[in-house]
Amino acid sequence: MSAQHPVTVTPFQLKLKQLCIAVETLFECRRGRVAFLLNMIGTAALYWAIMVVQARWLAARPWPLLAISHLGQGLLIFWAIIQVVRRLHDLGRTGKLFWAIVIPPWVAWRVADLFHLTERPSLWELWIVLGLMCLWTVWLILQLIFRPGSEGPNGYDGRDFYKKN
Amino acid sequence: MTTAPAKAQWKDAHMHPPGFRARRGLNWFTVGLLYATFYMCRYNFRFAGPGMREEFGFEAQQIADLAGWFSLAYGTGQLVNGLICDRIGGRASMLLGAIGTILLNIAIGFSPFISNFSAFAVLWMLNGYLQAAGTPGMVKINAAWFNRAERGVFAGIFGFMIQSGQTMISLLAPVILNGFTFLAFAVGPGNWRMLFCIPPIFVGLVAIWFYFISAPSPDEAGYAGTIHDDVDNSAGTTVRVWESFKFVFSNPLVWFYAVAYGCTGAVRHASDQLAPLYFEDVLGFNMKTNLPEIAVATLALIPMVAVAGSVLSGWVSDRFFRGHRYPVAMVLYFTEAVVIATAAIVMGLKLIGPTPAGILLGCLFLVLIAVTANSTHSIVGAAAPMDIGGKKMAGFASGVIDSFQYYGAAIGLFLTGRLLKVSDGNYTFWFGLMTCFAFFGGCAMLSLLLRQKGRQAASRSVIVFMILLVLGGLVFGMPKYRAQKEVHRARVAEEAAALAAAQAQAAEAMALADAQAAEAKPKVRKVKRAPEVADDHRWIAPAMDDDTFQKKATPKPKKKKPKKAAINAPAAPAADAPTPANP
Repeated sequence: MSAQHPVTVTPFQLKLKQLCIAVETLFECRRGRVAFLLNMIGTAALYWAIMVVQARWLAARPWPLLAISHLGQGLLIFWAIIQVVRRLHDLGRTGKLFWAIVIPPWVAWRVADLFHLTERPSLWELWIVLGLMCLWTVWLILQLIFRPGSEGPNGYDGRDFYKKN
Repeated sequence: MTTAPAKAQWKDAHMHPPGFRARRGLNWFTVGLLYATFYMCRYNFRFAGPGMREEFGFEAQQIADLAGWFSLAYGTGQLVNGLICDRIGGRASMLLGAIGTILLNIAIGFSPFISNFSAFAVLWMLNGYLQAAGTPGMVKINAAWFNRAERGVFAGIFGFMIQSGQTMISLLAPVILNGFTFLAFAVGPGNWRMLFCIPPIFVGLVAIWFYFISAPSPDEAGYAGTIHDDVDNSAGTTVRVWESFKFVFSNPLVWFYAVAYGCTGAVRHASDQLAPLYFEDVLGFNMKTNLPEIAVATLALIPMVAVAGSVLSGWVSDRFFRGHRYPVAMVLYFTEAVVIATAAIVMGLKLIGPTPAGILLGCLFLVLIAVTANSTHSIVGAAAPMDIGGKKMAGFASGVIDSFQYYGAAIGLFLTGRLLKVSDGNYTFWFGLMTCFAFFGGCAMLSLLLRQKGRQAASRSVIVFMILLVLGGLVFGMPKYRAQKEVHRARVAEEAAALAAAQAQAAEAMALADAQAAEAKPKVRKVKRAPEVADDHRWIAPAMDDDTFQKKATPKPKKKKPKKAAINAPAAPAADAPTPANP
């Protein structure tokens, strides 16, 4: 086995390992529905504020400021993803379900963009199909907001996980 | 709940130490990004082609030859670099490939001597050879980071990385060709050399990031013993060239996968590279100046569905077949054969053509072929070599298997080109040939499946059947091809003769007209012209411009018409004819 072969680990790689543990731990927790809702509203408000600042003030400023604002938006998206994954863990579901929330609307948006559907209202049947595709997302979002979390440890709780390892 | 134990089992099987998944994600992102930037320095050629033709007068055939030689160098590079990669490690291999790619692209972009076709061809082949260090390196690194039952999904993401590299250069190339200004750096429009100078900057930046962040195995990142391999790695993950060569060449699994992957290459490259011609010739699109929306949509949809198919097939092989690729690959190959055979039948029935339904069908088949071809591409080309070679010899296993993809592509394109030529662009043959390759790939996987199940006799029977198929194709196909070639040659000769006759007739008519014009020099301008030259009247009076000629050739009216009536008259009635306004 590979463990028998002596390998040196550089201090930089060890620091990277610590960073990765810190990032992964961010996801390995649970979030109640009220806290989830408040976090999401706060995140959305901040995101919207940055968008307004970008449109009204940053457009005429040097580009590094705009880049920083985009970085801020990226961090907010990351924070929102963490909230969704934590909430899914609270419901006793795997965090991978996040993709089930994101992918259908993304595909619908891409298809609408590809076929220029906004310029063709006559293709309403396709709009209905795309809408049906997003129903699963809507259902999951409703569950995230309204469904109470599971009682006790449920296998997705980071504390249990790290105790075992 | 009956699924609960299965879920628990699944979760236990994927239990990794804290932070491992994030570290692996970071490593994979870094490796994949470098690999994607390699594609930027390969597909830039596609966009530079028209500029090169304009500047140096390269012919289309020469440009196509360059692409072919690049593929040949790339395929051979996979073999050689795979061996070297197992010796020096995946990380060093990728870095060497990156440095070589940067240097060669910059040499092409900046050097004034690259107006010579031979010099360009040599440099471009060298670029192909060095780029081939990327795949074995990437596969070797990831073999060390993924368990067998996790590699299918990784292979799907590999497909995504390839597509993202192509997308990046597709977005960047128009910006470069249109000209841009960045701080004090200004590039004029149409400067194709910049296509070889700017993408290497991206490769360089990502290579620096790669140098610091990537780790060749989890052991080097502080996660010793996390990933378990079928191959013994107790002496490390690098291996002597001869040992790797012996292990991979004597492993029958490699050859089954290589044959199947050759078939994937034939279908994938034929469908990728001939799609624009198919759009033009069969669906009647104008692909040069005015790309129709449905063509744009199809070309944009293909990478999306290809990635989805790759990830899904990888996941299925991980989840339901415990990391065995051949059952999924077999189903995919046979499905592909059925899809393409259906397309051939539909094409034969003339249902695909420049009608709305025909266009929709034509595009649908292209998308379906892309899904199946790219799914086999990722699980056979990326996942299988890792399973076979493990951390130690995945580089060479990948090199051997991947090189067959390019050799298969070369054979497929060679045959398709000739069949299309002798059949006068009958694309039913294109689909027919792709069906044969897909079926052949399915047979290779079926044979492997039977072998792995211990049914050696049945496996050998399938191999014999495959050999008979090839022989049958040669015995029955070659005479038919030759006969068709003769028919085509006769037809071409006939057409050339007809064209020559028409040209002679036109020349004769021209001479006659000249003679008549000379005879009636002062007044005759009205000449009976040959239909071939009806649109071109300049040969009658070359020194005259069109307006002067029209004025002189048109007989003057004897009686002046009132201006108003002349303007409103729809079909030039007689001067004294009654008009509605003036009955």
